[in-house]
Amino acid sequence: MEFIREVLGIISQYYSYLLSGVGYTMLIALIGTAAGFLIGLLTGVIRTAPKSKNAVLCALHKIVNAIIAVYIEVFRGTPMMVQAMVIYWGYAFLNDGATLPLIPAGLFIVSINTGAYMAEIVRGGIISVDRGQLEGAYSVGMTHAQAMVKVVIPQVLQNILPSISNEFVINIKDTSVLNVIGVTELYYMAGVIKRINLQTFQVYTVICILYFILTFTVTRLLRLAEKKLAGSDNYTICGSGSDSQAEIHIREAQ
Amino acid sequence: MRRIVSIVLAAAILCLALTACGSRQKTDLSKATTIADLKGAVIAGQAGTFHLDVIDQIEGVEKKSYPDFTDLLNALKSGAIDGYVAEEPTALEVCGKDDTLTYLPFVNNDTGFTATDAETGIAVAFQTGSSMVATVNDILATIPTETRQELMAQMVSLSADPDTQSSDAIVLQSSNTDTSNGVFRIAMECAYAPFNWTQTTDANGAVPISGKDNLYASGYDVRVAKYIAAELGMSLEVYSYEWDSLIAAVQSGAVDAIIAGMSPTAEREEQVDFTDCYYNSNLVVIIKK
Repeated sequence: MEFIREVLGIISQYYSYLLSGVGYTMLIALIGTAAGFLIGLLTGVIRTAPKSKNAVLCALHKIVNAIIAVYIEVFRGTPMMVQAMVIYWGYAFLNDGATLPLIPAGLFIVSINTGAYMAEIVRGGIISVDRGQLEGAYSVGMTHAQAMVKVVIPQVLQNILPSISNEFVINIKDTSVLNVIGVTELYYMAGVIKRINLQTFQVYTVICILYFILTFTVTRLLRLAEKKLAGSDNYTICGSGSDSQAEIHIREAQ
Repeated sequence: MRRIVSIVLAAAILCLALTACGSRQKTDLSKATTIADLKGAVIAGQAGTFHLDVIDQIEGVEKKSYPDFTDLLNALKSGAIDGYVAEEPTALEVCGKDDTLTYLPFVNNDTGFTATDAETGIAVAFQTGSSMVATVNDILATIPTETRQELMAQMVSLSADPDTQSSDAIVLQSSNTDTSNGVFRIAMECAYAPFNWTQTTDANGAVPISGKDNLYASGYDVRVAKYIAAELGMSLEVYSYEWDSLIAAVQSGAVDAIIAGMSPTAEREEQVDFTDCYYNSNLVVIIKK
């Protein structure tokens, strides 16, 4: 069939461009999600920290909280495409024509955008950990920092992993908006190829399949990681030392 | 079993949804001799261009806009529009590549659209107040009209197969090979053949696009830019930006000039300074045969 022949023709003729597009898309999505997660973790911990008794620290905490709140609202409330244009051209106008290098600019935009979403995800994760866990940690003499690092955060990580993988998949797709500033990710490459061969439908069919392969592989891999973190389905709770029969065997329902 | 049934149902609904809308009532434009004959048709133009504005001059047409030229071409081929406004060189290029298309050769201010020379000419844009305008005007004045026509014809034929080396020498060449005066940075879409396009090799003297691996720009604008840069004793760097970002690129100083098939309209004059035109053309309407 003509259509399939053209699609295969695009792949064989432009595979190096498609691959480099895939590479930049994955690079930006991966680093953007990781950096966004770190931003989210940091802001989440700061925002859920208890009020300090020291008046100066307390005031400082309030100011930092306010800044974080503005950051989250602004970056969550405006489209990433608009942010890209404002940041890229804003930088050029403010710096007398010096433009940001494209790939780092793309990384920066995706990172701060993801960070705004992650901040809420992490905060939700921290709140959802039972209050008793924190109190228990305090009662054995842990400070708030210790309790966070050793007790709360590990549980948060496991709980929010599905949300993180969700963000990652969204980022793989959303890097396509960076084509407005000319980042040579997959969508930009599709634009380049369609302008050369004028086969719009065929080119977008190819990158549609490529995007799906990327997101599908990533979701499967992260599902595996979730399983690994959840541990074995079958385990034994140790019983009394004197009565080995007291052990409780927990098995997954068949 | 249930899964298979649901997939079949979903596919059936999708097919229904795609076909149920039916086809649009198309208008036969092949006999049109003046723009008044286009009445009742759906005509499109590229967003943010003079081509879009002139559609208002035709009575009784539905006006549509698309962000770039390939979209217009697709809209026409898919049947979403009856025709789109373009400049004659673009029409020659597009109709040469696709024999199902043709164009209506209207003449500006006669059988075609009403337009001033500035509106259908294309010029180089600099930052407001730039002293380069006068210098570049002097250089452009040395290119005779016949050379411009010849160069455009050459670009139209080159654009059909840009990655194959042609045996013909480019008609516009500067004798100056000294590039000690620095770098001349220009912006264009690299997506507006035959004025400027993107190709994957440096065949026929195409210029690499800055910051984009293995992509090269060529076309009428690139040749003129090469000539200007050489006459200035500078080396040339080509930057690719979206149409709507070109003015911002020159205003911010990210590039020195726009050479992108851009017409010096009054609105743009308020933002940037234009040189004299380096090509003048006719506005035509591209249609299906």
